Amino acid sequence: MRYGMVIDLRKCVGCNACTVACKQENATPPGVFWSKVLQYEIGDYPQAHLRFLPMLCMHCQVAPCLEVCPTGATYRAEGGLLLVNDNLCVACRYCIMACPYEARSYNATRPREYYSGQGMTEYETLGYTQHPKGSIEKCTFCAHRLRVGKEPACVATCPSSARVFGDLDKPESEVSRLVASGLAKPRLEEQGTKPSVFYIDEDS
Amino acid sequence: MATGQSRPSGPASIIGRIFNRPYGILARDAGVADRPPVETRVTACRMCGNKAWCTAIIRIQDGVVVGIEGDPSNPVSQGKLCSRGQAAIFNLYNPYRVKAPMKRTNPRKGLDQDPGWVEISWEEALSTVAERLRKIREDDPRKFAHMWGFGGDWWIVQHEAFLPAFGTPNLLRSHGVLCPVHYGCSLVQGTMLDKQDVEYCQYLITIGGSLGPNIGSSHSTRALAGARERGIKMVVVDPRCSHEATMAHEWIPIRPGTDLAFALALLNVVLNEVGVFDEPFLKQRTNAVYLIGDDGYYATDVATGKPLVWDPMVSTAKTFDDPSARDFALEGRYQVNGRTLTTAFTLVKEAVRGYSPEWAETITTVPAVTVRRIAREFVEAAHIGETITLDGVELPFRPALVKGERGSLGKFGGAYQHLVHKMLNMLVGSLDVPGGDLGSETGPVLKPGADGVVTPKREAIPVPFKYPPDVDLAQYYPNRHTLPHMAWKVVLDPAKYGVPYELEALMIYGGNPITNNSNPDEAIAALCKIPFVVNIAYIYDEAAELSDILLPEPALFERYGIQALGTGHFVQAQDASMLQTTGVLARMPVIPLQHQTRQADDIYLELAERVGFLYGVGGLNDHLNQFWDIQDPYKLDLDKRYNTAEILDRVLKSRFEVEQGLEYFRDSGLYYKTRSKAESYNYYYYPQGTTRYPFYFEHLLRTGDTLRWNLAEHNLTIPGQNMAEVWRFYQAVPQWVGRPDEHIPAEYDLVAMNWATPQFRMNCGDQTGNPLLNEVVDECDPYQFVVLMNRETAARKGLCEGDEVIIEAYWGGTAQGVLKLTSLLHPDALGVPAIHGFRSMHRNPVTRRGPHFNSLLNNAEGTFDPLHGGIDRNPRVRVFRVGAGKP
Repeated sequence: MRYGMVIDLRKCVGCNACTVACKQENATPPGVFWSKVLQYEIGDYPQAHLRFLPMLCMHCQVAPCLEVCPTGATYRAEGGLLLVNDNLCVACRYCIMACPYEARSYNATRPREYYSGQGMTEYETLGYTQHPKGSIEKCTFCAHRLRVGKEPACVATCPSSARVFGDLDKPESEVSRLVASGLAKPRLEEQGTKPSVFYIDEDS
Repeated sequence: MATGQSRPSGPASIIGRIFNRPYGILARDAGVADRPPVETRVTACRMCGNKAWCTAIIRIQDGVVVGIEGDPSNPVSQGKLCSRGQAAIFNLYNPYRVKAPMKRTNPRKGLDQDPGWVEISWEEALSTVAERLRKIREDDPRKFAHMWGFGGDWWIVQHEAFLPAFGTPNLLRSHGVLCPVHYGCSLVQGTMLDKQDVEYCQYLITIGGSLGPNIGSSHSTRALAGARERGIKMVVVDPRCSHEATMAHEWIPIRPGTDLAFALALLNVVLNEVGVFDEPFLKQRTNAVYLIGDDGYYATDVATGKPLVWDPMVSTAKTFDDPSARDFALEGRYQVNGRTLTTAFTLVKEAVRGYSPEWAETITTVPAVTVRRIAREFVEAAHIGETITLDGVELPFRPALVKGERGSLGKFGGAYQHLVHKMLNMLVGSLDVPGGDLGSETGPVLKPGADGVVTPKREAIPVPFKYPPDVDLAQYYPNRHTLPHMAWKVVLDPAKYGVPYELEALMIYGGNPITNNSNPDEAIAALCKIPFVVNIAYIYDEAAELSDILLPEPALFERYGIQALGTGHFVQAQDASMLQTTGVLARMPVIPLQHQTRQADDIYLELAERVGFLYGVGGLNDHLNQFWDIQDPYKLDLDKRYNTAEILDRVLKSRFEVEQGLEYFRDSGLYYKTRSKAESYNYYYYPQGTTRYPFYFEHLLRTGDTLRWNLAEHNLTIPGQNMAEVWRFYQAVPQWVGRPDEHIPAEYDLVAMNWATPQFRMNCGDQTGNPLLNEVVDECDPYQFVVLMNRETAARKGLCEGDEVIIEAYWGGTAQGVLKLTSLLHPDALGVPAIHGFRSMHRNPVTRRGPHFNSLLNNAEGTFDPLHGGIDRNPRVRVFRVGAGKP
């Protein structure tokens, strides 16, 4: 079993439902993004257009973050997931530097409130128990949802179904077929990280 | 699950193994701990503010909402939830909410004045309001007006029941002046809105509108994704390369505000150059073949009064429904009883002949060759003459359509724009058939009147004239969408407008007419002038800050609501799953009230009882029975006191045939039925030969002439208007009406424009104050919160990325913001997205940042469309750097 995701950039419309879904599902504090969509433009008027690039942890098979972690806080879990044990993490931030996808965030202080000066809402108070101070955190492929048979929140909510999720070890799964066809490719392949997230280019 | 089977690698991890506890035990589930047990409830969302059909599952832990996700059992939303819905938890826990009834203690009103809010009891609040209303009702009920916005869209005790029971005609809306998008379909297709069949459409021209992705609509984005997989060709006509223009087959940049010229040129090319159109459709299914006299009206049969057509086979005029007519002349002039009659089609052809693509290019900058190509592609893509069999029923198949929305329809000339879009679709026969432009309501809406033409409905039914007019002058603008701007003018100078009374009280529910229309200072002045303003409020928005009493309402998880599954602004691009689904959404509170709020409907019932118009014939109960068409045994007993839940239950059982009523929605968000594919198209109910669309708008001409006659009878003109200019808008054939700021100094060299974004749309549910949406936009979307200008235009002007700029409209309004340069915008355009720059001192201060587009707009007579009442969204402006001084 190797969890993998394919993001079809032909379908992504840059609505950021996934970004908000991830933040809400995982109660990430202000400033922390486990998943986000980069938005930029290419070309000159009138041959210009927008581009969207959803980014998240790639759950690499050859993970720089895993290699550099001094305490073993970053570990490989079932399904090939890369997770962080915050009891072991000493926040050296070596993994943040090592990750070529800028997928990791660090909580330097107690999370600040979303409504500046107004205190924490009950939602935040409960949610931030998952985000201890002084720990590195990142996308977990919503492991807590996988455990109960649900897809990651970003996948479930994408209105265009631009994200496909499944088992890369099963050749008949949609993610496997898309990768095998050559249509879905990883980013920064030259880094040798062997990501578990693949992208179908807009021009495919 | 997370059993930590792999050992960490790398030399540093040795230290970890020495100094930390055994790896395997601690690592189990650490970082991805099982979540505590939660209760789940299903509810309807609606953070978008407008008639989407999304249901959501919320997770509640120890009484706290800790999560929300889309409801996978919903056949239309299919488990998806847009960014706004995902941020809805903050809507509940928003600390800036109004938490109890509040009374103003500072008598001075203004956005620079602290109202001095003090908390009062519900008893004091309701008795104060009731007493004021009771006095007004005894004196002159017209002196009470009620203004409603989308925040109140799902209510049960609708103001169309509340106000007649009270006895006032002054039913106002807080919004609508920027989105008057109903006249065209009301007149042509008998429906409030139109929708696009993206299940079958293959060629879709969008002019100033969104099919879903631009505004983050989850359903329509999903529907469009399917259409794109099927190879739909989108042609997006828009001054900016939006999300949809990016994914389109073709982006056609156009100068903002000039879409009518483009559409008329397109119409001209199809009619007079391409010369290919759906003849059987035009002959049998429109009034294009009706014979028109010199006066512009249908020539009618003396005996029956029915409109005449020319049968070329026997060279005789016949009534349109004469069964002996073997053909209808589409073109030509004919002598009938000494009169020269012309077919409507010929009149239209001739009228639009002058709108050449070359002429249009000088106005729009769209190359003439592009207009000609698009016209040809459109006609070819429509597959004229083809049919498709759905569920065993053969229907015409016309997979090409033109769609517009507020970007093109919200302007001076926007009503004509809407009609031209319909005419284009009629030329290829793509109304109400698979692949085409569908009316929003499904059923026998195409029923013709005595003249054989689809009966006009909704906003095409002119408001009956009366003098003096109502406080919003609806009688002077009888096909209006909404007229809050007129209401403010009347409040400030009733004598000028011939209104013989002054408003004594205004109640506002669910809308912010100060910031969300135009001319905020005028709206502020009017609101300050009205002696008593009550606001059913969610937050301390600008309208609330100018009110006297605030009655706080629950947030979306805490309240009841109902909505028929119809077409709203958010569900216009539809696939089969949407087209075939009908039913109702209802919600009940799924979380206890967090504050001392009260359901708005209960407030209305309570006030009606206290003021004395709840019971008896003509009371609120009676009007609710009528509005919701509640039948026995569910009909409200006119003399009984019901609460919201009880009324909602009866409405669900009677009107929507939900057997278990409200109880059904305890575990389900959506009650739906699936109709057949064929029944999803209005053609099914009135097929070929049974009705006709108006291709020539005699009804509009008649509406204008009726208004003219009524005004003359009372020796009136419409105050502030140049009447010759007004009558230009009441012609049977749409025409170019120019731009309202055509002749202003050239230094106003840019044309401003606005668009909704996937996060911020109409600012419903305090989207702009939602910290999660703000944070995500700041991180991910560099095109929001800024003023956008074409890169080369900026270079010519010596303006740079990041400059703080002031935008000045010729009309005098200004806005300020940070400049972002882009290649995604027409060189003449200035983009100011969404709505920002709020001013209330008691709302989330983050809402203050960003430019306020609406301040650039103008609602003076002569600048707005006198047909639909909507103001022009594309003012000419000039831009300069802050501190640079005016050029």
